[in-house]
Amino acid sequence: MDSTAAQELVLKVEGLRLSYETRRGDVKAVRDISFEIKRGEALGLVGESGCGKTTVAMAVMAYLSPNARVDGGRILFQGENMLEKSDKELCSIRGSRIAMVYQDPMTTLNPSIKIGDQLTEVLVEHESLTKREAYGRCVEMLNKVQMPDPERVMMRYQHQLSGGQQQRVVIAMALLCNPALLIMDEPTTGLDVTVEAVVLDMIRDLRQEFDSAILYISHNLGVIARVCGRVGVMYVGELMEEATVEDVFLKPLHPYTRALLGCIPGVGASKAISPLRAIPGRVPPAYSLPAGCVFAPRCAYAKASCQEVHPALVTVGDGRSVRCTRWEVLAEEGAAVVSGGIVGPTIHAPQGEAETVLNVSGLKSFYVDTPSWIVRLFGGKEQSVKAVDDVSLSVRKQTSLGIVGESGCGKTTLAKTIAGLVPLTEGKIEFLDEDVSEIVEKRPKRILKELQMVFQNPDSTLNPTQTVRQIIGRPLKISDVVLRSEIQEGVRRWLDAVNLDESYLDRRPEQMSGGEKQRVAVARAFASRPELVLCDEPVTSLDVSVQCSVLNTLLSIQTSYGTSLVYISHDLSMVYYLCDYIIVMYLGKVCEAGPCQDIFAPPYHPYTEALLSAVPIPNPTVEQTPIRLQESVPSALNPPAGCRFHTRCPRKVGEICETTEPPAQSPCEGHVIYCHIPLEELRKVRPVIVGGGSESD
Amino acid sequence: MTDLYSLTPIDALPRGGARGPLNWIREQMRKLRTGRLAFLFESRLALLGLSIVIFWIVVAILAPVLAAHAPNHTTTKANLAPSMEYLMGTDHLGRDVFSRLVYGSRPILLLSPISVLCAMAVGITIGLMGGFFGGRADELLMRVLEAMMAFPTLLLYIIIIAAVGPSRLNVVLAITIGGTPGIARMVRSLVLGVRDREFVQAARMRGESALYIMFREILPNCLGPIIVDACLRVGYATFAIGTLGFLGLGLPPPDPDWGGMVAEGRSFILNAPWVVLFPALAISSLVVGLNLFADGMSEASHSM
Repeated sequence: MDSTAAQELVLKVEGLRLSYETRRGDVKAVRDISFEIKRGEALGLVGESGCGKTTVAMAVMAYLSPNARVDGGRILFQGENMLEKSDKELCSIRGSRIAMVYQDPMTTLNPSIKIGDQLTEVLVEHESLTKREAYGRCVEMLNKVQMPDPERVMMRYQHQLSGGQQQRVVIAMALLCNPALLIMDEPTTGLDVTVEAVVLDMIRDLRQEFDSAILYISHNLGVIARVCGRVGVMYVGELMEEATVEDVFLKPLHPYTRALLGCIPGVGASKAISPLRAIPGRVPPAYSLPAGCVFAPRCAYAKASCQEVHPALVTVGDGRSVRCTRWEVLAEEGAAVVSGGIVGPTIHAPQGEAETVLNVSGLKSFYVDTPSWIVRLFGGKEQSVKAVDDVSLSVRKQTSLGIVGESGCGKTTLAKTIAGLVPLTEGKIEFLDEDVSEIVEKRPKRILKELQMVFQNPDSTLNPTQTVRQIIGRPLKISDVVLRSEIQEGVRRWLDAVNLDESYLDRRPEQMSGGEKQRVAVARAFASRPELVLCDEPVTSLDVSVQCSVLNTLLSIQTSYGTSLVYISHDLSMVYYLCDYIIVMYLGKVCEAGPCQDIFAPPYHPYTEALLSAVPIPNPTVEQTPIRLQESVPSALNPPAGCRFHTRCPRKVGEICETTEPPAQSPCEGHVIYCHIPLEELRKVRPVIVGGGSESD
Repeated sequence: MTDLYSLTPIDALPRGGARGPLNWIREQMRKLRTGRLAFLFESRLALLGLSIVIFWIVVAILAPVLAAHAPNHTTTKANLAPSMEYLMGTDHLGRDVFSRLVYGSRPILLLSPISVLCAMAVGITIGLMGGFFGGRADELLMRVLEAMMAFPTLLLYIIIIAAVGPSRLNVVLAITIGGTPGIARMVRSLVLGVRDREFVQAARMRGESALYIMFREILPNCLGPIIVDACLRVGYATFAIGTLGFLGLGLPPPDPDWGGMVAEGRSFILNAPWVVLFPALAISSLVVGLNLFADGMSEASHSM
């Protein structure tokens, strides 16, 4: 599809080597990287964090920190070496001929300048237009990035726009001067899946329209599959494999590529069929690299020779290269057979009727914002955020319940209400046949150790002033699950269970990585041998490979103790992989609930359908029905009447959606859809995700 | 002189092998450089501040050895200029200024940390409780503290001492009451920042008592700024005790007290400036020392 007549080379990076001068000596952050991007082509760079992706992007812009040093290589942008340019020349190139879109629009846009002024400034500066001429161009550009109501957006400030809109403004800004090269560094990472899908579509369309070359950096293989034509896989500053999207995802040659793919749950992969394979070990720091192949210590296919010989990037076939001495052997082993790695447990849900552990009925949790008496005097009214509005659910013994939805839909509040950290407004929570509708301080003590939680943020989940020994020891001590004299032994066993060795005993959280902290948090939650553990996006902020190994740990502990899980995530494929039952939430209400298989097959609730269509899938052969939701989730302060989803619903029936709450419809035992569309109609929808045969077995 | 270069370099000596007192000191210094007090070596000013403070502590401890005369011993030789016998001269009652200065370091070095500790104890407790429990009681308490903070601190001290009379205990009382509101508000704001962190929620889910959560989970995370603040406050307290002494509200005479010495010597400042100069220098050097130390510490805690 990139075979346009003018195959003009836009960017050519040749043998780029770059190091940072630090106190620990020189850190060779980028070693011998070469790639090319032609006009209208999109090259994706993937890899775990700390692999030098962003450094490469910055080097292309010749935008390096003062302690960075180029050791060799050339960066040819339209034939000119960027590394030899003066600051003045660079200034005129950056922003006009090369544009960059950063990860966080919040910090890219200036909060004190109107959007319009920030946009016109680009044209005034680079193309010497007058403000008036520039204004027209900017509005036109905002239209192209599908910004609703561009004229008014021009008058607004950054904080008045949603995250997705902000990122669109940044993209529009980057495209204003029609750059020859567009660098995007994780532009959708901070966005919700539904918004991400819209932005990715837009990027794809723009690529065709503007014919720019795109360098797209992401850690998310699914996103890369959607946007890019070619992919470069990076690992600690080296390019391990470069090939077309199809080749990388379907016939990966390098063991690292295979390992990465093995870390993410594929389409329709569940823990019962295909367990995730974690990559053992961790990314080595760039100041102490292994002698031979840098990936050898973690590689499942490594031979002794790999430890000694540093492999070169060899070209195999058309535009395809791989840095592995054993690629031929691997190629023969078959297409996408992923083997090796640390295999997660295979788990089957208990058959038949298991007893119910948790029963929540009609739960409402409102955050009431009471104005101070002085504001009330002037007519200020009490406002309540209806974070969770009438949710019922039950969790059966040894099963996992997944809760999915966009951010702001009340998932976390629901979990915290069940945990007793947030007081409930109405409804009832029954846990182990006891009424626990009170907050945690008022619940009976013996029930507390049966209900634990794993939190989202690895940086605040552990007390920074305590050591791992104290952190894990405390629940053991307070819950009386082991004898006082055996607490130390218990802590050691738990460390072992979460795959950390004894050297971690006296470490404090600042001495651990995010994944290690989450492991300790998992150990802490499970230490009192709870009946139910609530997990609130425990791996969202971690790298894919780390995500996978933490999840495997979580699963194996869950199976060995027969614990029930409530797993909250915005990632549908993750929930599908982990859970037996799923609840889809939107703005504090349940849209659809049922067994995992039923949720992922028609009939769908229109919201579920949209979510499924938005999930980035790391497989270019998979076809997803394109359903895109516009705007973002409305405010829970003043939720829409009737069906809450009606403002964004692509399949809205009519007025009934705006006035009446949707009825519960049950297509089969245990599966409920809250929608006005009749079931027969919903059944006619074809599956959103089709294809992806390679994932079977 | 030539031999200097033939000495074995220190680094080449086996670690822990040679056990001289010099090596022990070196080992301790190395521990210091890497430990919690490492900031002292980053900031020369902090080291200078600490040296001044240590100097005064040594003076206070060795007072009986250093002082040539009894501090309250009067002679007929009033307002003598500094000489070999009276290093800093004598005051209007013929007492040796040097001896009084040396002994005068004792109450001030004792009272200012004690009063700050008391203020900290009360302030931290109030701030922790207010921040952790919140609600009406917290609201009420904070308004009361704000009302107290509305008074200029010195005025508050004077009111309190005037009401209960000057004595060592009452100076501590005054500084405690004066310092509590500021400390409580600072601690409260720190607690609010930590209270909703996830590890506190985890502790609540374990069923920990409120006391455990406040003192074991929350307080240790607020300690950095609290310690820096305490150091600054010792400086303020030193200054306040000096001022109270000057106003005649400090320690009752005739025991030496730097502030009181300045006040007594004030009338003779033109013909016997040494009577005022030396105690004033003493107060300011101690305050400057404490402040430099606190500044260095706060810089270190910010850069961490």
